[in-house]
Amino acid sequence: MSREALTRMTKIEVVARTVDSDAVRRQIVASGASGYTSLPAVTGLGHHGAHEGRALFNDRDALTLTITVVPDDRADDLIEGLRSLLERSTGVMFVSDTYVSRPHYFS
Amino acid sequence: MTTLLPTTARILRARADAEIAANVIAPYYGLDAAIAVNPVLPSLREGMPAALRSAAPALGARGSAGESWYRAQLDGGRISTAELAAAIRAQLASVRGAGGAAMVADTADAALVERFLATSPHEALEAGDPTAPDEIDEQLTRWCRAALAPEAAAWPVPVDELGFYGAWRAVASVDPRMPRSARRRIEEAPAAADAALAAALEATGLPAGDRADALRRELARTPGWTAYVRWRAQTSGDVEVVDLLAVRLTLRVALEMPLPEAPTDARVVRDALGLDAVERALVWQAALEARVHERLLSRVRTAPADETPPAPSAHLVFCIDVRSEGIRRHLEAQGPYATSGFAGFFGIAAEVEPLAASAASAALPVLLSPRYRVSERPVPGAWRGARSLVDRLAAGRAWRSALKAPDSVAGAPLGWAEMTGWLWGPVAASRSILAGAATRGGRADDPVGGPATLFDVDSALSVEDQLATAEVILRTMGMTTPDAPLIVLVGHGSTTTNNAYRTALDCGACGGHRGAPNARIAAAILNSEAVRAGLAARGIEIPAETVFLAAEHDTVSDAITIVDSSALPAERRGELEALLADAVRAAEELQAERAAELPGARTGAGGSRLERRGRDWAQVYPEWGLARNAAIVIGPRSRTAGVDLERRAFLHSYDAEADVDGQALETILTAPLVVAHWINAQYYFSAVDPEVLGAGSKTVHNLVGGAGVLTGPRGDLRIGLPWQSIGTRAGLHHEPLRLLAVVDAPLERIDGIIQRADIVADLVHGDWVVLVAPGTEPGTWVRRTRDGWAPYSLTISTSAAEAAVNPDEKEAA
Repeated sequence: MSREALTRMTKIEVVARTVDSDAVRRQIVASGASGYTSLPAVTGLGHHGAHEGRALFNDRDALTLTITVVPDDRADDLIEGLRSLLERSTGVMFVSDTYVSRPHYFS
Repeated sequence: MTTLLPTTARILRARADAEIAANVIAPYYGLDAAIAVNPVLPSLREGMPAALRSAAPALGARGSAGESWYRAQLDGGRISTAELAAAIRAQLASVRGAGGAAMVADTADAALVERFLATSPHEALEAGDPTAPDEIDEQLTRWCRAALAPEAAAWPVPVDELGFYGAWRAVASVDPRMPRSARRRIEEAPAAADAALAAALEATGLPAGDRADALRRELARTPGWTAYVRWRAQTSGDVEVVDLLAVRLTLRVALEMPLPEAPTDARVVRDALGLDAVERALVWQAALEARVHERLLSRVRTAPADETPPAPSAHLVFCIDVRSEGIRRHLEAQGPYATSGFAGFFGIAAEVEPLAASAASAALPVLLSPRYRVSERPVPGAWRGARSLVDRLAAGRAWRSALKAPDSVAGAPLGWAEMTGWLWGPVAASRSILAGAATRGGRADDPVGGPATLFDVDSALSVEDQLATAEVILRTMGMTTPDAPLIVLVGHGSTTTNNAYRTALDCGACGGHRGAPNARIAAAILNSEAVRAGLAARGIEIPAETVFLAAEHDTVSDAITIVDSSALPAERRGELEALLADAVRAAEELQAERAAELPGARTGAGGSRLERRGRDWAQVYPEWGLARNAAIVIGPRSRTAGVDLERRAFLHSYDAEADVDGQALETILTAPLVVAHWINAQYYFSAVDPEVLGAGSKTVHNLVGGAGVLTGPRGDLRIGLPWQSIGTRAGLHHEPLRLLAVVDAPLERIDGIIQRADIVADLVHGDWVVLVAPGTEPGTWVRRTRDGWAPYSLTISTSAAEAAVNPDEKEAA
């Protein structure tokens, strides 16, 4: 299937501390997005050094990746809303174009 | 107020400001399952000094004891001149570098302390400035009580249908006590909470960059309800801080009341040594901690004991709770018993559903999410007893509900009291006269007196999952070669009555519940033949004759009750009976030790007296809980066996040699250490500012459903611990000390974990805990700070430490 048959939308991904990710999800829902995907305990290397995944007995002090896809006309409001939220925390946000096969799922 | 709806962008910006503002305080978990928490947890990363400088003052609280209190400790001999001088030198070196240390290197201790004391206490860090409630606070707290604890409300409010803000808007817009103009403005406000908040923020005219701070000041006016709403947002999700702020701001705009003003930057006052108020407080704090650190570290061995103890006849595994230290010490003195410490949920990350409970509850640390649910069921043949228990507890719940039913009908409570009040007089009189004579069995999770049951582990966990759980338990505990034929997993709980803070005395590692269910589930898993076969394949051989039993330590009476001995063959009952006989003697000795500290307790009183104390409905000091906690020791029991740590240390077993990859230590430092800090911080802040960060006196508390308590009939929800958990009329019983973490592990292993785990780095680098490890020379210690390891010099002689003041020797309630 070529991309012409798909619908272009905006994908927003946020990596934030798990304790801050509730606020990220609330912001996404408040923007009118129809859903999100949440990946707890992600690992990686970044500005603050290496991050382990979930500790055995501690889900709280880890990083969570939250992903949402929204129509382009809703993206800017949400991007600004998330930028505002992340102003005083350590999270990072990635914004990219994406293509979906079922646009009505995301509208 | 404008009737135009704000744009989505403005709404999302307002929501972001609200979420940022919410970090003024940590969530408060209520009293249904009380959890200790550092009230300024969101500011953990900034460190303890920053908490004193900004996070606590933002709540109108102080982050350290007042200078006058510290001076009283100096005058009373609790802090010595040498300790204070050492703390001053260390602080000067910390803030001024080598120059600071050199500045006073030639100054004698006495002269240095004299210069330090020359500054007037009035110029040092004193209490914050909790603002008197205004009209907004009064209305908001009334609404919070009605909407968030509807069972405590005078009449029903439509929160379920309209939400927290929507229901308030509906009620307030027709409230005749409100000025007509205000009612109109409220009616015209947007129907959605976030839109209303955005609209109100617009109406205030605040610049965008100032709004988060303004909202933070709003939330700080009622920290209790803010903290509780934060918890509800995380759990049920039926209310969030945006709702709270929407009501606040809409009301403020409607009543044309100005926003709380930003505090003006206080003039920094420096003392004769150049230290500001926060730096002085940190000096005092370090001086206060020095003697306790010396006292505890002088007792903890820096190398394993020389002699090998005899093979134990039983090995008991207790929760790390400081109250376990006493019972472990006394039990080991009775005979050949080994003990270990492990988080009291025993690695069982479950929702537990006791047989007669109305709902399942998360019986695990709040750091974790439940992975599965385990239900309690009667064993075959015990259905009749089970039915009886279920019916009895259900009837009790129905009876209590019926008694409260008139409360929900306007005017009915008065008539109800007139009609039935005479009935309660004799009941109250008999409860007073027979204080403490009540029998147990009124709680669904009370292990005493119930029918024979089991926890249905096989329905909850596959054999593979049980095997993984068993391996984690044994490896983290360092018990890869079980050393006794009888291994008892001992949870703990507290049997008290008429005590709103009952769950605060239960097991925090079990989510504020009694620990017996978790112990039973873990024992069942470790006794499973399939699990043992799997463990053997993974290098953990459990001898066939080794049996795991479950028990519970009642922290009021110190009684140890075996709650499930079904796995023990009948011919081995004698082993258990011998253990229980020794446990009774250990409990008696510990009760005598504890009675010396409990207000009003006679030191000669027997165990039954302390047990009755827990059941006395007028007793506000059923036990001291975790008061005077000061340290956590992570290492083998051989470091601490036979020494008295005065029930001040959390003890987590750890064997560095068995932990080849360091996984067990990482688990301990990222979970039990964190929980121990939360508990320590809750006691610390409740003690240094009992008014704002503590809950005040129990004697004037009014319960608000399961949310918490109010002091008197109205006001903010009280967070923290009640005064009766930390002090007496004579003063503080709990000493506000930061946690001393003694970690018996290779330094590079600890460093690796600090590097990988942000939470551990935050605790250590932020000076929330004092982390030490054995030095290379016997009897020496090294401390880890953000600058690395350095010798941890103990400033006083051991004899002076031994003479450290126990406040209860001076204080009488």
